Amino acid sequence: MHRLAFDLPNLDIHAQLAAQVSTGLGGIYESLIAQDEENPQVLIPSLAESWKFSQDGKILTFVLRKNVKFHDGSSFDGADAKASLDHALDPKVASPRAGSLTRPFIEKTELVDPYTLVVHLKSPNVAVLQALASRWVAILPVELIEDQAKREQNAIGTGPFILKSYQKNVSMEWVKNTQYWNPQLPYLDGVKFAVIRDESAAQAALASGTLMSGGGGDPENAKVLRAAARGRLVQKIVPGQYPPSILLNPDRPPFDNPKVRKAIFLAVNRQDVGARSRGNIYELGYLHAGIYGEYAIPLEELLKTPGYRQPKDQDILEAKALLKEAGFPTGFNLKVLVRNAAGLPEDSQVVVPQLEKIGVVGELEIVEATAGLARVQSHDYAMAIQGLSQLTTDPGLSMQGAFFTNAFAAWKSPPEIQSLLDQQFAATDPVKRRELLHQIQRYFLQGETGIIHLVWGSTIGLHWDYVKGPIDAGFQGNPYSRVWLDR
Amino acid sequence: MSKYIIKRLLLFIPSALGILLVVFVLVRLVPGDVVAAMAGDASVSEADRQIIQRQLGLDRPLVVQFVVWFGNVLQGDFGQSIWEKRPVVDMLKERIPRSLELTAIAVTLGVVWGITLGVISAIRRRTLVDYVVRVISIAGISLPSFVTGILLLYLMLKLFHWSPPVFYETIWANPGSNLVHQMLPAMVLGFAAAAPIARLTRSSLLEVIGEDYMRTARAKGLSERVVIMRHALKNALLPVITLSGGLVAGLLGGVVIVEAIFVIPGMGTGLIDAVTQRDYPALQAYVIVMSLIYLTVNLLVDLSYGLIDPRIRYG
Amino acid sequence: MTEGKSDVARQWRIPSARRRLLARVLQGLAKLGPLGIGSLVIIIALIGVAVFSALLANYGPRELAGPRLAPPDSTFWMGTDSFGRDTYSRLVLGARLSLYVGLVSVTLGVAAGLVVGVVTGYLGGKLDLIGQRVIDSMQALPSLVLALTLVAVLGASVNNVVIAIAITIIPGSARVFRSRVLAIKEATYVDAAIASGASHLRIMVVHVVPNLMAIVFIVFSLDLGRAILAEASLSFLGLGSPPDVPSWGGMISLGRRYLVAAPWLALFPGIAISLTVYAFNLLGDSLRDALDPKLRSR
Repeated sequence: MHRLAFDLPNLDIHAQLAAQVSTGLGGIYESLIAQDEENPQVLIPSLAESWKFSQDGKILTFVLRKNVKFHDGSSFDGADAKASLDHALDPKVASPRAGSLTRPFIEKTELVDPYTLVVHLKSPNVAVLQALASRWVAILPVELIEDQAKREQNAIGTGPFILKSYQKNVSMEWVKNTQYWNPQLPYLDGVKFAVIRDESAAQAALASGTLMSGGGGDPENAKVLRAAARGRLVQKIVPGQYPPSILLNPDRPPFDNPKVRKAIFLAVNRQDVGARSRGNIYELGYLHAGIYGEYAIPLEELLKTPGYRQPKDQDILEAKALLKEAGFPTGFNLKVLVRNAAGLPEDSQVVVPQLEKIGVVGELEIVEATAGLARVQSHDYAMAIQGLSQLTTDPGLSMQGAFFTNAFAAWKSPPEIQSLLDQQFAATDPVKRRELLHQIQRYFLQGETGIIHLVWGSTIGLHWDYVKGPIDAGFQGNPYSRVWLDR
Repeated sequence: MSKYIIKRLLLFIPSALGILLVVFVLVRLVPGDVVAAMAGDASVSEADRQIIQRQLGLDRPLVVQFVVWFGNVLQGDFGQSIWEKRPVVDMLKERIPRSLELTAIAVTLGVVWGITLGVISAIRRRTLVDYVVRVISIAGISLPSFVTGILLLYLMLKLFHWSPPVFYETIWANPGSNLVHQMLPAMVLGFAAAAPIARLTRSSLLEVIGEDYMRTARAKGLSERVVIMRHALKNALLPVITLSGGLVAGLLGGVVIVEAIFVIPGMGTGLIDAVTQRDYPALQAYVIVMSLIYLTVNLLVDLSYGLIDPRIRYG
Repeated sequence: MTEGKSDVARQWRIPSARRRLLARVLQGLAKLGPLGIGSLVIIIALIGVAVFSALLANYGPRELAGPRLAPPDSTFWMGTDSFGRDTYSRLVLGARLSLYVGLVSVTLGVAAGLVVGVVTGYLGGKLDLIGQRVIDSMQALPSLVLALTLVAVLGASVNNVVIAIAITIIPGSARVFRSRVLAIKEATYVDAAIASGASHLRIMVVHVVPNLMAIVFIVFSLDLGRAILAEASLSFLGLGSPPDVPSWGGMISLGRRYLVAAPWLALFPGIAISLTVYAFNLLGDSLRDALDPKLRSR
C-alpha cells in the first residue's frame, strides 16, 4: 500500500498537471517510449519497438509494437497513437503537460501504415524523445480520446496494471494485467494507494506499517521514524523538479533598475533556504546536477559565483553598494506575492527575512493558489516567489520550460540567448551541447534577469525494507512493474 | 399541541430560505475568477472566457442567477463541481454519511459521558470529585479540538505504535475498520460536547433535587440512588436535550477540524477543499447541508421537547 | 453596574473616594470566587505579556535565530521551529495577536449585536420579525464554517479575520440582548420616560442600554474566549493570518508536521491557547454567577 499525496481531479491524463498524477496513473498508461526506471536518462522501448531520426533530423519514425491489447480487450495500433498525440498537440485542448511538452517541437504526425508512425519536427531536435517518453504524453484508445466524459471517468491503457477501483479522495487499486505485452512483468499482483494529503497522518501510517511506502516528509521526521523502525525503513532521496524562484518584475520600479535586481540576486542565501525550508536536501544552480550531471555547471564553479558564495558577507556588501548606486541607500519596503502552493510559503518565510540584511523589508502576501496563479501569470507583482517546474528529464527542455517559456516571469530572452537555446536543441554532439547549456546558465548567473533561482528541493521517499525494486521513481511517476516484496 | 407543531414547522421554512440567500450572496462575493480556476495553469482567451461564463450562466443578472439556482437546489441539484467535474450531489452522497456517522457517535459519547459526569458530580456535590468534574468540564469547553486531537494522535503513536487506518471504509463494507477510524475523532468531539452537558446535568439535577416530590420520594424510604435515577434524572434531562441540539452546531464546526486531523473524507475536509480550490458549487452545497442539518436537529429537539413535557406551551 | 454602585455606597458610608473604590473592587472580587480570581490572574498576566511582548521576546517573529528544530535549552527556551525561529519569542508575540483579534472582533461584534438587539427588541413589529429570521439563518451556520467562508470571501489577512469573527459574534449576542430588552421594556421607568415625552432614541440610550451593561460584560468575556479560539482554528486550518505572523493556531499547525521529531513545537502554543480560552471561559462563568444569577440555568 502506497501513499498518494493528492487526489486526482479526474482520470484524464492529458488534462493533468500535478506531478502526483503520474504516480496515480503510472502503471495504467504507457507512452511510445519510456524512461528506464533506474536511470531516467536512458530511454527504452515501450509501445514503440524502435525509432530513428531521418538524415536531416526533422523526421522521427516509430515502429509500433504489435499484439498489444488495451485493458478493455481492444487492440492497440497506430490510429490510437496518432489520435493521442494529435489530441495532446491540439492547441484547443490546451493540455497543460502533454501538450506543452510536445507542441514546441512537433509540426504534425502521419500514419504510414497501421504500425508505423511518423512525427514531423519543426526543427532538428534531440530533446523531443524525452518529451515523448514523459508519462503525460500517454497513448489512449481512440474511443477515450473522442469522449471527454469517458476519459475523465475511466483509465483504459496498455500498462502492466489495470485500474480496478478508484474511490475519490480515498483510494485507488490496481491489479496485474495478465495480458501485458511483456509476459515477465509486472511482479506484483496489485498495488493499492491511499490518498493521504496530511503529512503527519502519512508518517504515522508509515511508522505503524499500514503504508509500505510513501513520502517521509521532512528529513528530521524521517530520521525519527527510521530510528523507531530500527533501520527497517529505507530512505531514498528523490531529486525534485520544482525550483522555487524569486521573480522580479523588470517593468516595475524599483526592479526596472538592473542594479536592484542584481542586489537581490546577491543578497539571497540559497544554502540557507535549502537548509531551513527544504530540510537540507537540495541542489543548487539553474540546472539540476543530480539529474543532468555534466550539463549542469559544476558545483565548485557555482560556489565561487557571486550570490552563491559562503559566507555571505562579501555578497551582502556588494548588494548594499549596488542599492546605494541605484538610489536606495537604506533599502525599501515592498509586498511579496506568494501562492499558497507546494512549499512556497515556507520558502518565502526564509528568503524574505534574508533580504532585511540589505534593508529590503518584504511583507508576505499569501494568496490562494488558483487566485494567485492569475496574478502571477499577468505579472501583477513587483516581487513574487513562484515555482518554475518543467517536469522533464532533458536538460534543454528543463531550462526552456523553467526560464524561457514559463508564463510567470516577466523576463524576455534576448536574441543571443534564445539563439544559444535553439543551437543546443540541434546539437547532436553532447560536448557541444554541454558547452552551449553552460553558456546559458552563466548568463543567468550574472544575476540581472530578475529570475532568481533558489534551490531544487529534493524529497524523501521511505519504504519498508521488504519492498524491493525501483519504488521511489520520483517526479516521473512509477509503473511499479519491477517492484516486488521479499517476505 | 398540533398547533405548536405546525407553527414550529412553518418557522423552519423562512430560516431555510434565509440560509440559501445568505449562502448565495456570500459565495458570489468570493474573489478569484471561476474560469481561471477551471483552466488551471492553462491560459484562456477572452472569447473562450465569455463562452464558459455563458455556459455557467454567469453572464445573467444576479437575481436571475439566484432564482435559477434556487429552483435547482429545491430539486436537489447543486450543479457541477468545478474541480471534480461531476455533480455535487454525488460528492454529497459520499461525504454526508461519513460526517453524520462521526457526529452521531460524537453526540452519543458526549451525552453518555456528560450525563454520567453530571450525575456523579451532583451526587457528590461539594466534594473533591465534584470539583474535579467541574474543572474537567470547563477544560472540555476550552481545549480546542485541534489540541486534543493532535495530543491523542501523538499519544496513540508513541505508546501503542498505532495510527488510524488510511483507507476509509463504510460501516456496511467493514464495520470494524470503520468504527476504528471514526472512534478517535468522535472521542475528541464527544469530549468537547460532554463538558457543557455535564455542567447542565449537574445544575438542573441540583435544582430538581430541592423540589417537593423529591422530598416525598425520599420520605417513602427510597435510597438516594433510586431517587436520583428514577425521579430526578427524568425531570432534569429536559434542558439537557435542548442543549444537545444546540451543540450540533458546534460539533459541525468541530467536524471540519477533526476530519482534517484524522483524515476522514467527510463534509469537513470537503469544505476546506472547496474553499481552497474555489469550487463554489461544492462550497455552497456543503454550507447549506450543514446548516440544514442544524436546523433539522433543532426542529426535532423542539418537537420532542413539547412531546416529553406537555406542560410546555409556546405562545 | 448602576445598581451595584448604589448598593456599595449605602453599605460603606466612607467619605474617601479612594477607599470606596478599593472596597468596590474587593467586593467585586469576592463575588467572583476563587476560580474567577484565578482566571483573572491568568488574564492579567496574558495582557501583561501581550503589552510587553516586544520587551519579553528574545528574537523577532520572523528572525531566523538558530538551527532548525532545536530542542528547548537555555538560549531557545521553547526550542526552535522548522525555520529556526525562536518558539518562545513567537509565543509571546502571538499573545498580542490573539488578544488583538479577540478584543477588536468581540468589541465590534458585541457592539453590533447590541445595536441590533436593542433596536429590534425595543421597536418590535415587522423589523423585529425580519431581524429574528436573519439571526436565525445566521445562527444555523456553524460559526467556524461561517468564519471560514467569510475569510474565503474577504481574503486571508489579520484584519479580515477580525471582521469574519466579529460577524459570527453578532447573531448570538443580538439574541441575548434582545430577550433582555423585552423584559426591560416592561419596566415602569421606561413607561415613565415614554409618558414624559422622551424620544425612542433617548430611551434606548439613556434607559435601556445602561441596564444591559452587566450582561454586556458577561457576553463580552464569554465571546472573547470563543473569538480567540476561532482565530486559532482558522490559522490552524491555514486560512487565517499569513504564516509569518506569529499566531498560536498557525504555530500548532506547523508543529503538527513535526510531531514525531519535535513535539514541543505544538505543545507550547497548545498550552497557551488552552489556558487562555480556559481563563476567559472561567471568568465569563464567574461573572455570570456574580452579576446575573438568573442566567445560570440558561
